[in-house]
Amino acid sequence: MMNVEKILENLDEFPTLPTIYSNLLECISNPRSTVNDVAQIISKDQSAALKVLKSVNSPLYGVSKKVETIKDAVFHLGFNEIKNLVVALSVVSTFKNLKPTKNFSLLEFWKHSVAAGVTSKLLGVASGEKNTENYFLAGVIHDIGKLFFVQFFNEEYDNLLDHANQNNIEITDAEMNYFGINHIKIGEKIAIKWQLPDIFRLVIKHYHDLEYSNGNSMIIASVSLAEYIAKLLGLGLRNTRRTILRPNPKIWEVLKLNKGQLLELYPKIIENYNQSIQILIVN
Amino acid sequence: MIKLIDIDQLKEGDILAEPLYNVHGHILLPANAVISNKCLKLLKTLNIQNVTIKRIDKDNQNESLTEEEIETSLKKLLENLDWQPENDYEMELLKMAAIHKLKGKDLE
Repeated sequence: MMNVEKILENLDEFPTLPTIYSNLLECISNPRSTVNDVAQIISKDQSAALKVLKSVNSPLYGVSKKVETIKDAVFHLGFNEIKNLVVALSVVSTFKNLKPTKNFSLLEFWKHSVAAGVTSKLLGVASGEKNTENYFLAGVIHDIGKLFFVQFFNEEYDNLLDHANQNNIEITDAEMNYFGINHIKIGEKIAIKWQLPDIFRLVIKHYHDLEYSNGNSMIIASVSLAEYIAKLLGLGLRNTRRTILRPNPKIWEVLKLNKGQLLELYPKIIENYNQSIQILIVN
Repeated sequence: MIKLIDIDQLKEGDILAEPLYNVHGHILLPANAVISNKCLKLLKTLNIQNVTIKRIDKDNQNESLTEEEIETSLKKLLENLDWQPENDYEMELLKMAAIHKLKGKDLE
């Protein structure tokens, strides 16, 4: 097993989010900031601005009339949700040049993450949650810790994935055995490094085990089920285990979905997934 | 069916589903452009990583599935499981997977 402390030293070199995010964070934390101020920051980054507009007009955000300006986009989504959308866009572009491996395709990774993001949001809405502004981003970054291993331990991680796939071993277990730490723990540290609100760290920490405190149960259960559905449908990274596992029954206690609701979500999941991967992933 | 693929999977004769932009937002190729060998080389030198193409979907004709088709697909899925659904939610999830398989909407 490798020395965990030594592994974690690499966190200093792990990318930070682009300046557009820190500028937005600063602006939003100022109670005197206006929609105009936030719109101005986003508009300075042409590529982000274009993607923000496309996203806001996609079915994911359910805005009924066409949004033509960034100012309108900020107005419709609100400060927090627009900030989260910018983070989601930034995260994907930040890792654009990460070296893929034989067993790790960055495209498939993002497809899976985006599928989890859109599905989390749909599940949150379906469960009657009024505030779903964190759901999409929480789904998109739930597996972010994996990128740490790909970046700093490219070859070792490729071998690990190969071994886990061949022997039908859970990736988190294989990571623990080899590195002494897994992508969940690393993901939590990345959320802290990026100064994301603590709810994102909690989602990363608990979407696997669903051991969490009451206040955050809905978003964690939504990401957990969304991640399951993404794997079940083969949207992005496929389930490395050959068999489909039973979903964690705690999910149903928290989400309290009505009969038929899950199946009704299916076409929406596919529509949102198709549109969102075009916007977030395509150059 | 529209499919997002890695540039390495792009082949001569593929048709672009959406315009292709460079980093400055200029159009490199319009939607419906047919990829030639020359294009392919050019896109690789420009470090384009993924593109959206149109692929003929063999299941496209089959938009509205019959209950019977879904049941058969579900039965096959259930046979390969080492657990059986115990509540409506689990059943709905598996039905979703069965429908997805039939519709071929998987973008992989």
